[in-house]
Amino acid sequence: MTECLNEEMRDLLPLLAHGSLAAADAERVRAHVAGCAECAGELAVLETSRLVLRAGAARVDVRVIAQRVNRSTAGAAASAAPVLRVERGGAKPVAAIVRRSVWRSRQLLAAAASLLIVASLSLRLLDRTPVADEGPAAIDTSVAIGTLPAPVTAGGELSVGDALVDLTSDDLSALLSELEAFDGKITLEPATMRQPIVDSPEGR
Amino acid sequence: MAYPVPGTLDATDAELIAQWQGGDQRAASALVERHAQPLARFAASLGERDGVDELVQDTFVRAFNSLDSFRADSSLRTWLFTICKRLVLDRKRTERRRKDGVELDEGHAVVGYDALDGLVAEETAKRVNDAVARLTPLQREVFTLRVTEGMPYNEIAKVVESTDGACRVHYHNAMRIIKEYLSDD
Repeated sequence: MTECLNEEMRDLLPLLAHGSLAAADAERVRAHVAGCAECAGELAVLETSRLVLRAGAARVDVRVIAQRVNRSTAGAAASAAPVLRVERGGAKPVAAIVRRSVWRSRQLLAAAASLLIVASLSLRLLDRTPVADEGPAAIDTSVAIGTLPAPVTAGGELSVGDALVDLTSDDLSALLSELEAFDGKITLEPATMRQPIVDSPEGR
Repeated sequence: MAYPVPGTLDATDAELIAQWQGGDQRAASALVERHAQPLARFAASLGERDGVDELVQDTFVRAFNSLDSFRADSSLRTWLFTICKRLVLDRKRTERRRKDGVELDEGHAVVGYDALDGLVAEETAKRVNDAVARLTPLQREVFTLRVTEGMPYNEIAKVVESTDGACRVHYHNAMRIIKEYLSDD
């Protein structure tokens, strides 16, 4: 059996049979095949072989496979996502930026919550500071963090109270915003400025 | 059977991978739709006749679970073929051990005839299959990838772990053997 000596054309014959050649290349190969009996015979063998091999291969149920694959890989996408990270110019991965941003927000919220607790406790204590004749025993020391029994109002603008630990992040954010925007003046003058809190009998 | 996934028909493999990584499971379905049947044909060329659905499914599951190791210097299909081939080799090793050292009949590969759809006469199909069965496993792999999948030699080389030049030689040797067999009949 003779073979065509044009190796380039012979190399392209299976791609012509497959239909994956660019239009210009396909036209060039067809023009060659039209004048080459060896390549025409080889192309016929290739087209037949392709049909036989494709027809004989097992048919798979694509829909079922897709469903099973989706079930088996559920969750894998999320863990694979950080692979798509930007590395040029020292840019940080988006996921890392988001994580840090969330962490920073939580830190701010925690700080804000602490401030609010301290502020509310202080206001409450100031409000209940005993005058000299009541004595230190009148101070309510049962107030616990996060269990403030009643709202405390300062200057008629800022109101906190109830269970702070029950507040959501959004609530705390709103409170923080209020705190930042708060420009009211505390009209109460601390009792401690007016007079000593305690005049103990022992003269401490 | 077509299984169109809206919005994914024109997307490239890379775009579908990104969509899947973003949580869109339809993208995975589209990739399966695109590559499942070629994988089944490749499996047949490797001699797999039973459990091809499971093999194709395992190939995709393994691929999706290790996408971070996918290098875009080859096509997704090439990468899937390499995974499929490793799974087939694993299967054969397991089967070989199970059969207590009895060698598999490598020449019994390729295809059955019952799925032929009338485009090719049964006698012609038998002759072509007999001719392909005379190839070495490596020649058969290269020939199938070149003829049925239209893959370039550099991609075939990645699947069969060889060089472009060697694959080209394997292809032409396979072509010569097949033509000689068919002309002798």
